[in-house]
Amino acid sequence: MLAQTLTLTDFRNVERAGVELAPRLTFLVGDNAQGKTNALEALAYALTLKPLRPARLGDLVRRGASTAVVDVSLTGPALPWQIHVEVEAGGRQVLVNGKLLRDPANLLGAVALVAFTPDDLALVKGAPELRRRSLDRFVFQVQPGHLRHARDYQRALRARNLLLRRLDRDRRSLDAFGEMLAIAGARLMAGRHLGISLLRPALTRRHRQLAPDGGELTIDYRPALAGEEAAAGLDESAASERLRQALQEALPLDLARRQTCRGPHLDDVELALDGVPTRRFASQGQSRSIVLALRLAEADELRRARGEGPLLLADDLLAELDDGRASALLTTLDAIGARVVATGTRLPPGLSAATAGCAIYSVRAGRLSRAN
Amino acid sequence: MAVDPLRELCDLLARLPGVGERTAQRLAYHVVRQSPDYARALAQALLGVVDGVRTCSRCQALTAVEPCAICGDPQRERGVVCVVANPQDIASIEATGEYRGLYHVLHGVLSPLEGIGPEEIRARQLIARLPGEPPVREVIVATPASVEGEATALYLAGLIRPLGIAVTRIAFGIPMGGEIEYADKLTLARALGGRRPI
Ligand SMILES: Nc1ncnc2c1ncn2[C@@H]1O[C@H](COP(=O)(O)OP(=O)(O)OP(=O)(O)O)[C@@H](O)[C@H]1O
Ligand SMILES: [Mg+2]
Ligand SMILES: [Zn+2]
Repeated sequence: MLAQTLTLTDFRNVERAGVELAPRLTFLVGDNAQGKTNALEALAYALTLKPLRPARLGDLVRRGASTAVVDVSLTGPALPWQIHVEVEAGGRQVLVNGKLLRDPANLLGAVALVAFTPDDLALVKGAPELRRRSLDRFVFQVQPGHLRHARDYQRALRARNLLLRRLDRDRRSLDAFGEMLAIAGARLMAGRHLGISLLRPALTRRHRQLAPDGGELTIDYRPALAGEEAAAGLDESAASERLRQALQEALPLDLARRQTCRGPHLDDVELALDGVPTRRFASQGQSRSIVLALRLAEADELRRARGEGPLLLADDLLAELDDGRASALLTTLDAIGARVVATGTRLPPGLSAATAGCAIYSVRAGRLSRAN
Repeated sequence: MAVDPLRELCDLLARLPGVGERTAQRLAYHVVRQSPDYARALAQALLGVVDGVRTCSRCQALTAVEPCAICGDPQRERGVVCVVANPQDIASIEATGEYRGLYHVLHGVLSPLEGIGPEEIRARQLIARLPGEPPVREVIVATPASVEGEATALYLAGLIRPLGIAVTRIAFGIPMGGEIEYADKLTLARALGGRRPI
């Protein structure tokens, strides 16, 4: 499906605004702290129910207002969709075509989405959690069941950790929730394997294009469950057996530490240049190419899986890239068939009010106005 | 200070699940417009529930008679017990017409996140009734297909299997996280038919 229009009411610093998303590129331009990222975030939020930046629900509501509302209209081969999201400090409500959305998984499937933000640079050298989350977000979109498996795993993990912290440590309950961890964990790992195997070739190819002399970039799954067979990918029942065994073995440790010390909540994803993990040495410039190659690989694979280009959100495009690379990127995205919504403090070279298929909005003090 | 009876009725109705202020108000005004007989009958029914409904000492279902109609029915197959999380799940399974055994209501599922442990669900009462006359030979666990519902099924299997009694789980064609209440008849009938050992 394609996102067509975005309407914001009392979202962050935007009191009211409407954006018509252009077929190729919609560019939000303006000075710092005017609301460009906020508008982009509203779109991301309506499609994923996750803000672009860490935030509490109340942060999304304009100061002085009580409810933030975001409306997004989508068109597709079948019926059009209207997504209506209301956010208050105490909770959120999502209506799709006027009906209450019970399972967010139904929303995540609607639009393939790739987001590229300045914070993504931390993916290269930051904590494993960032890479896990990035991978999972991609897998949700090629295999909707992955979201449920991830959530089930998290729920079982929290439950088991609570049981480990209790004094009585009822063994039967521990076993029952441990078994749930083994089942959901094996599915979670299978999804991550799938994601990595889809991304691997595309990532290497994209990186070679972006940095021809930059070495060969590879991506590998590093499950916390050690063992070669775990890294090579087990079938689901073998993986859950492996996980079950690991939980058994680590039980004394878990009881001592009062938390679950084994399992895919500790997985990592390794990016390496010519076989050397980038986590240890990548420069800023290298990190930029790596993250960009990763997002392009996601876009490639989403296009392949869905038969239509994804929606690509690029925040602060020109802060990350010089003019030459920025226009090369936009050309590449155009070739993928991605529908791009980007922000920046100035327009990228070559983009003007006359460019076909593009819309330019200037953003000032929370107001958006169409400039072409 | 005098209470406003209409206001009070609205407040009480608004405490019902799924009923907001607006709906509560509509319901309250509706009751007022009906003949007084309706309101009296409604009040009687509410009192009847409070004074007349207890849990069946055998299956823990809600009932006005002891034992409940199902436990007291000589036609029911006594060697099979279907374990459900909530009393209303019995009505859903009965509606399929596929099941002729007895029930056991846990009144919840294990949920450490909500502070619900084995003592808070009626698992002990279930174990106690298994050796009855005739003894139970199969326990079908029909808790929801959520993490907590599945863990509860595993927990019960751990308790019951050592007693030499078969423990089966209904095959959920019901979506994960699915509550029995919301499953349609056909899905539920299939789920009962396709049960598998835990
Ligand atoms: N809930 C809110 N209510 C009112 N204003 C808010 C709220 N949340 C954020 N803001 C304001 O929004 C402004 C930031 O907007 P945004 O992050 O979109 O800036 P930007 O245009 O992307 O700038 P930059 O170019 O620096 O990235 C800040 O001034 C911030 O105080
Ligand atoms: Mg910004
Ligand atoms: Zn009974």
